[in-house]
Amino acid sequence: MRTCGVTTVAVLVILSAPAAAQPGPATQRPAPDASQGLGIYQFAYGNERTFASKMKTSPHFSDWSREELRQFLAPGTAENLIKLALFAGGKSAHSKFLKAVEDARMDKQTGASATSEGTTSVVSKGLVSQALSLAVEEGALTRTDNKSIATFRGNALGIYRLLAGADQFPYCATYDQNCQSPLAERLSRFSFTGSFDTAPSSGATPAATTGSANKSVVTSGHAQQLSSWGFRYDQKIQKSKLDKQFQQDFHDTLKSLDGSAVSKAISDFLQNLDTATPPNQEYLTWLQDYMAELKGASADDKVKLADLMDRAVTRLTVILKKDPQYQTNLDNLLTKMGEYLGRRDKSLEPILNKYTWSVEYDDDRPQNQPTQSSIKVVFSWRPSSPGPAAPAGPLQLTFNANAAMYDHTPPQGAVKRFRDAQAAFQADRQLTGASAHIGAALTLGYYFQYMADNALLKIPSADLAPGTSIALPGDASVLLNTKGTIHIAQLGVTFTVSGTGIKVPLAISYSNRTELIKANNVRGHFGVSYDLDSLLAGRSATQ
Amino acid sequence: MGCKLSPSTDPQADYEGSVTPKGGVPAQIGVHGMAGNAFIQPGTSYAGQLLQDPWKFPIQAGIQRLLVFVGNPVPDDPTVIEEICDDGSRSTLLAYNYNPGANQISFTIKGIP
Repeated sequence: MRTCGVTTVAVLVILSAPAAAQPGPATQRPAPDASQGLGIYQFAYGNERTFASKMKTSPHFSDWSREELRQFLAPGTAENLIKLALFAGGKSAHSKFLKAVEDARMDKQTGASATSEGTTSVVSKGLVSQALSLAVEEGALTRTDNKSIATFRGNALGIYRLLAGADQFPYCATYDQNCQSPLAERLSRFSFTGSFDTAPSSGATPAATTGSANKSVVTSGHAQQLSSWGFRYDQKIQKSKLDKQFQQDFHDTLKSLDGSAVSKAISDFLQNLDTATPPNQEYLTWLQDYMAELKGASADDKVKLADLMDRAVTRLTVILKKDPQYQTNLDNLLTKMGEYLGRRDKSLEPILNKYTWSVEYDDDRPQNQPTQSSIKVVFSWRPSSPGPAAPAGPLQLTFNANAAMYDHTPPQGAVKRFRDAQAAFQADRQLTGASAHIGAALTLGYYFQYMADNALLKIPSADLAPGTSIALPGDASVLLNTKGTIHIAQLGVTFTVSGTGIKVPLAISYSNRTELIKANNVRGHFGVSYDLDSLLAGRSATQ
Repeated sequence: MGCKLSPSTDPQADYEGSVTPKGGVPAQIGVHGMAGNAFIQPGTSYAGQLLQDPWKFPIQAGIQRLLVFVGNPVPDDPTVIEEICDDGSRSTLLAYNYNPGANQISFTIKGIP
């Protein structure tokens, strides 16, 4: 018997936070609080990372050359530019910058995993959104009922920063493992999920024993508001930066990255400072004053240096804001720089994380079935280097293996406690380049599930046994002839609208049966997801 | 040596050099890293004009910005931005640790007529 179903539209709403460690602006206090252990910069201004070696070997600035002192303070060089821009622009500036940086990544998972009652994906992807993601999806692959499931995915690092009041979305280059603190790097690997049934059904248990009646039994009754929860650990396996092939791939990937827009934005932002005609005397006085003060300072005296740099950036900001075009130039700089760095990170992703693996625990609470726990291992791989012709890295392979068991021993040993084993494979191929306004990715997936024994249903007391008028004395189990294998094949396309965080996945799947009904099943899946990284960052930018 | 840029005594400038006459030999910059294959990236500009490989530019009068975008696969790698002089020798403009999160270096160049 073949059934067809076309799922209705649901809305995926995703929050996510990119991990990173460049700290926010100093505001009105001395250097950013490095004690949180989540950033590498200690000073509100000054190219401390750019001159890290010099500061260690020659901590007394009096030993530095004129050019070195100038470059340590130069507003257009290295981290000083973004430090100045973020200090001058405040919290909204940081949000605007990060909004531009954040870009949808092909292997970001924002929805429910395959065994959820609502999903558009047969596999769990290799990396998860980094703060919170909320997804509501329609379309079940292995459950009999179709549900509107809202899934929250949270990342430990993002939650920590949110609760601690620290900058939630600092930026680190995707290949810069030195940028994050060890604490931040460890926290970023842990995430959690909670899925909620947004449209629980309720009703009387129908009387029948056919396959369609089984479906009715499943879809009626009392739904669980919390349909599942879980937690996950992700591990990236990066190539050595010293690897010759990686270095060649890095060069080939970035040698044609367009920097014209950010170059102009930087020049416009600084034109009234260091290259002003006639010379900006206030700026030159600032430069001379702080070069002189710096000569009397030492990198070993961090408190004094922090105070000096805080005063330097505060005074420089005052000078900067006298430019009538300041706000326009600042906004443009933040946007263009963020876009540039985000495009760079996206271009590098395929050659950096060739392998990722994850371990995931989920507790499922399906309607009218006993609660179940599952352990899943996910492995993700990009088999080939992209080369300059395909900077987005077109092909990604993902493999899942999963085992599930009932949380409690089934009544009277009716079935085994071990419920099922699953395996899934998915290939994603990016069809468009990194710069396309509308991106498209093709997905082909296969899912296999072995039901070790017949499935169980739970019918609450006072309900009737199906097909009878017999009132059941207590929680009872109905056994269905469902032992065996499930095969599902899925073909889909995901469209991405560049710069908006919107993704539209479309898919069609064929299965030889569902868990509870032995009948061929063809389903269509449709979803819309919105990455709330952009929303949160954009909301702050407009405050 | 044939190097065109020298440290400037003007407080507004990092380096200075004679204005390149029409048809004259432009200045040229390069970059190298210790452990990483450092390279100059597009977006590099002088006096607001984008440069292309081999990263040459005629020195113009007044204070102009030389903005260099550097790529280096090794974070914190000791990196050197240098002038490639006429005789092939190299003169260091800046030696620093490469920061992937902020990969641009800005020099102010004074062109002397």
